[in-house]
Amino acid sequence: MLASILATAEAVSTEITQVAETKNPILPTVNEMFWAAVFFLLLWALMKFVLLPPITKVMNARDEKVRSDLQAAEAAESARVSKLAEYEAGLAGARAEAGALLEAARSEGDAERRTKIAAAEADAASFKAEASTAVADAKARARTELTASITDIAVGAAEAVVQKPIDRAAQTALVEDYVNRSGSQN
Amino acid sequence: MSMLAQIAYDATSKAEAQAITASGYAGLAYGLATLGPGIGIGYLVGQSVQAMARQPEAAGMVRTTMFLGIAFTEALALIGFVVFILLKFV
Amino acid sequence: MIFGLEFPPIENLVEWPNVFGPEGSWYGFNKIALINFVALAATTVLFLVAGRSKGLVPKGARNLVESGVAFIRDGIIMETVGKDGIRYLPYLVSLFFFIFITNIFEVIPFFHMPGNARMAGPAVLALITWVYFIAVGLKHQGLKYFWNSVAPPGVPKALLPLVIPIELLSTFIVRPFSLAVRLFANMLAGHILLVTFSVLCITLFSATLLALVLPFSFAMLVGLTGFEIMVAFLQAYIFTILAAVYIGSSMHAEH
Repeated sequence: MLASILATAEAVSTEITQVAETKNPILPTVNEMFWAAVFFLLLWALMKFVLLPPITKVMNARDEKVRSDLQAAEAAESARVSKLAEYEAGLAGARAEAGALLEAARSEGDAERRTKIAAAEADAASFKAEASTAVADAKARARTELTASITDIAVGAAEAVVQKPIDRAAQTALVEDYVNRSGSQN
Repeated sequence: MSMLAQIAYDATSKAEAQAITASGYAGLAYGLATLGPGIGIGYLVGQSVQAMARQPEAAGMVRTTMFLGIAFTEALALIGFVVFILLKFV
Repeated sequence: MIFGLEFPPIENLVEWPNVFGPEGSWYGFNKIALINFVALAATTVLFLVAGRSKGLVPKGARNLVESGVAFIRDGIIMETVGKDGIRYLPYLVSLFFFIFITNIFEVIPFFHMPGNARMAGPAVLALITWVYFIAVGLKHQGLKYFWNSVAPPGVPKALLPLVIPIELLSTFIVRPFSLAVRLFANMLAGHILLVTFSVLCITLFSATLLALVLPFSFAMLVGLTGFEIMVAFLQAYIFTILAAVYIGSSMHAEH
């Protein structure tokens, strides 16, 4: 009886101690905390003094280089822009000069052409006038010659017909009148 | 069996029964703990996506803030999970 | 036992015997400590190799390290603290790499144990962060830091009795607690999830009809492994960014 009670009590007590001894899966254990702290603090110290400085140094150098390169590129860009403006200004000046030259040449050419044309026209006019006076002279001479010969022929023909001299003056007037009329018809 | 042994037996079986109820409650506790954070994270991420779609240039900032918000919201569900472990295994 | 599925007790999933040192001693070195050591060693080696290579064009290890550092500098510090926070880069970089590497052991073969699925690691990191941001506050604002952080300016005097306890609680107690619990619970949950599907796969790997379900379980396991890689990164990022936010908030009085 007593032995069984004692045995039961012992069983219960061992169970209780077992329950108390089962570790809590949530609570941290001291040894793991110790090692985690040691390793993390070591890593932090190493990181701060040994591991990170070369990395950040190179990264900063690269950033610096990128920045300076960008600045150089920007400077080159602005230089390019100013060069371009300069070039364009020069180009515009040259173009204006060329235009002026062209204009001058054109106006000069115009004037020359105009004078040449005028001279040619004057030449032509004088030539024409000369020619027309010559024509008029020839015409007048031809007409008088024609009148004289026609009068002679007509008077001769008439004398031959009538067998007596004919009044030359009256015939001359007649012929003149006829020639004038036919000349006007031409 | 003696009376004392009977009492001891009763006590242990009661402890077992309590353990079973506790593990049932543990599941319930965790299930309840997931509800609020689930709704919260869904709403938070939805609004963040909307913000990013409206202003893509602010996407980086929105994303950072979104993760912060998720971290805070999620904490409740995780505490529920810890309570679940505590109830079930301790 | 559920449908013949024998799930191991949680102690078997997360607790490891000591490699040396007696059980329960303060210096017992177990698998978690080994993972922490590997995190330290891997980060050190990575940075040393990266730091040795010269030249302005990054390659290999240097590229990896630099993108990590640039991510923390531009994606975390500049976004949350600003230019003044660059001086906390060493702390945040070591925090990020340490947490990420201890987390990623969740999916590395033969380890398959996230170092942060034990409360010890997250608790230590949260404690150090807590001490650090209080120290930063004291350095930048002097003893007024405590008053500034519990009583935000612009709060009516009548509300102060209500605001001060809330702010005190949220700044000095909830902050480190939630930092630690967030990391720990995420990793533990991911670990249990992976173990569950692994156990399921092992159980289904039998000459019965249950083997038909095995491909789905295995696909789920593979998918979850990818998901846990993402979680490992995300938790490292969130821990680091929250540390940056806390440090930044104690640099300047809130306004």
